[in-house]
Amino acid sequence: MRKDIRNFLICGFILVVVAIFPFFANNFIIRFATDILMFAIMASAWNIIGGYTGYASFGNVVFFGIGAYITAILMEKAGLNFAVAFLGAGLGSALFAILIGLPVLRLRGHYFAIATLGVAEAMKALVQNLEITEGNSGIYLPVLNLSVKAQYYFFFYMMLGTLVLTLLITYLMLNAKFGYSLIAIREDEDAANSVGINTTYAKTMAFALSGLFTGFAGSIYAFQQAFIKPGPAFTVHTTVKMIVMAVFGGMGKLFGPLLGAFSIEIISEILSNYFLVAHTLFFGIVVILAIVFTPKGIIDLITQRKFGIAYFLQNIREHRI
Amino acid sequence: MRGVIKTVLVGLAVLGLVFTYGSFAKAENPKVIKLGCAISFTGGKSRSGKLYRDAYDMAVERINKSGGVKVGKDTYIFKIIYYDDKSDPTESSRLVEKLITQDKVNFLLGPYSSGITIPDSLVAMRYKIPMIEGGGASGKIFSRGNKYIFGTLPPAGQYFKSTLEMLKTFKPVPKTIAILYADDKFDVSVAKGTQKLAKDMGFKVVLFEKYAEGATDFNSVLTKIKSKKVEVVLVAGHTEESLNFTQQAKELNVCPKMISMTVGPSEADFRKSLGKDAEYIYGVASWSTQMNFKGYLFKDTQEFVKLFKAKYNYDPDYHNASGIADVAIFKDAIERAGTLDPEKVRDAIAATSLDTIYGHVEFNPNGQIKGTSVVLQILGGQVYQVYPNGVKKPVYPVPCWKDRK
Repeated sequence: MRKDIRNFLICGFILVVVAIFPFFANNFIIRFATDILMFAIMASAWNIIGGYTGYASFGNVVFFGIGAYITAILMEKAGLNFAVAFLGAGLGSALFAILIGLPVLRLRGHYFAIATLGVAEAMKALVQNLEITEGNSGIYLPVLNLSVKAQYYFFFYMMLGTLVLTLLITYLMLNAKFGYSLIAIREDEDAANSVGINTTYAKTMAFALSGLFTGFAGSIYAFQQAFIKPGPAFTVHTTVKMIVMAVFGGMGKLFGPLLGAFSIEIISEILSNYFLVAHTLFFGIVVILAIVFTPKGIIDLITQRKFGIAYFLQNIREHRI
Repeated sequence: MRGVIKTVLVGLAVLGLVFTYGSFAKAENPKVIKLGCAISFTGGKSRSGKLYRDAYDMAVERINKSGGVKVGKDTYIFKIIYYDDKSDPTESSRLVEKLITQDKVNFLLGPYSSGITIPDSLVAMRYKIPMIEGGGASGKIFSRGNKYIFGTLPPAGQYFKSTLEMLKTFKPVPKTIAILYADDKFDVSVAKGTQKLAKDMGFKVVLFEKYAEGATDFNSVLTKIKSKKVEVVLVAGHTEESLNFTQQAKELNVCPKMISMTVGPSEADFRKSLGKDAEYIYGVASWSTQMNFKGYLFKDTQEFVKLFKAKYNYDPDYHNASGIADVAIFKDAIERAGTLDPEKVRDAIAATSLDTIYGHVEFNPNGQIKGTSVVLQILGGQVYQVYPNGVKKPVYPVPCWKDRK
């Protein structure tokens, strides 16, 4: 119980620090932090389906793109305000996850990964050819009519709020029967089925939750960019980034993806600051080293407080690399 | 409790990284005008990105060596601060914010491709810093009344504008036009833009037909042209289609007063394949190494082509030329404004009227360059610029196939 209170206090403290941080930072730093938060949301959302349920979705960017495009269409074509578009984007993405999840979640392992990859590519092609999305040339969104500084605050706090919501829901989920059924599915789906867990329902709901939060992130992103195009909105790079962040930070851990998003973005930014072209090479090396030595993610490093060589060797042995 | 302290300390250290990050602003030289540029060094757009960087660098080097930029009584030099946008619009717009708020650049040079230019231009607008870009041609960039973005690639829809203007100088002015176009994105934009321009200028578009990219059979459309007695035929397509169209026009003896094609006439292969039949065919081009414009930074286009090839060991194309023009426009506009004030320089850019190796640069009120395409015609087996300020006078109406020797 004392540990719970301690953890709660730490989380509260960090949240307060992050929440007041924009008042001490310049615009670029706020924007940078906003991007980190966005990826933290997406990596955490991926964690629900990929980390806890064990279904490695390689098409999660589809929810991001759908969220972005629903926002664009509702605001630009239907003239609705951002609040409505934001909710519509999240719910639309979740609905899409349910519809697509029902058939696709029957597949397991590599087949599921490839199918989700296909869904994202198909959606991109569809958006590129629809009239309402203005095809491949992209679509504008109304520009937020606030002072420059206020815009930065707005997007930062929207992302922060969404991230807190994502983590809170994930936390509540983990402490409910639902969360346990997801973990049971990850460990052995047939066994989970035979002990009476409605696996279809649980998987689909996990996918929908993942879609919901990713859709929210896409919505805020679209409003911030004020212009989106199918190519970048549905790029597989975004999915890869989510997965790398989740794995780097710690898959199947509540704060793993958040930590992953934070460190990956910082490392990548510092590297590209010093190496204009070679940064991708160094970045790749860092990721490979991290996966080899700490496959459980850097959150494991922090919580286990084992920094010795023995820890790394044990990891390598355990994962037979 | 020790655990708590440790956790908090680690957290603070990490946050500290974020806070201090970027506070190491570079020492400022008072005589430097900083141009910011987030462009693709890596990723899918890196090849084209390099074309612009090479051009920007060459133009800046040239300016700095030959006296720099005169602002009032002071002389400044240009310095470009580059970041790699990884071919990603999110990254690019973020880096533009970094350039403005952290590196405190004076002005912005554009990235490559329309999809990345638009988010970047929105950031430029937010901070009211003018950006000149040479890598985005989409009309979308200029459709939102953004006052701070200027582009030096001509819009696809304006491609035939010089041709239509030339038609107006003929006596009698032709009335009927046929537009044929391939179904790819660029040619569709060309065709739609031309249709609108032609209507606005009082021409009658009697035939507006799309064909599949790579089509070989133009018989039915040629029959229509013949039966409707169309005077001018404009084709937006590719070399192979231009070849087939010309050959079949001859076979069916379809003789409009003029045939013009976007791609083909300027290529040596096209003229060789058709031989004598290529004679009198019109073409359009926005820029090529064959042209010769009086330059601003360089003596003329030919000198630029020679120097560029010596420096980078490849032939410059319109991307490079457009990039050179971007930097030249900045120098000219800053000198005319006599200040580094972004607002005044923006107004000076908008009022640009400058001869560059890329052609004469003037901007439309929306910020896109006024169509600089020139009209070419094949005369005596060679391509000549015939409008505007042509080397030779255009031959119009062209003699019918039967009447040629």
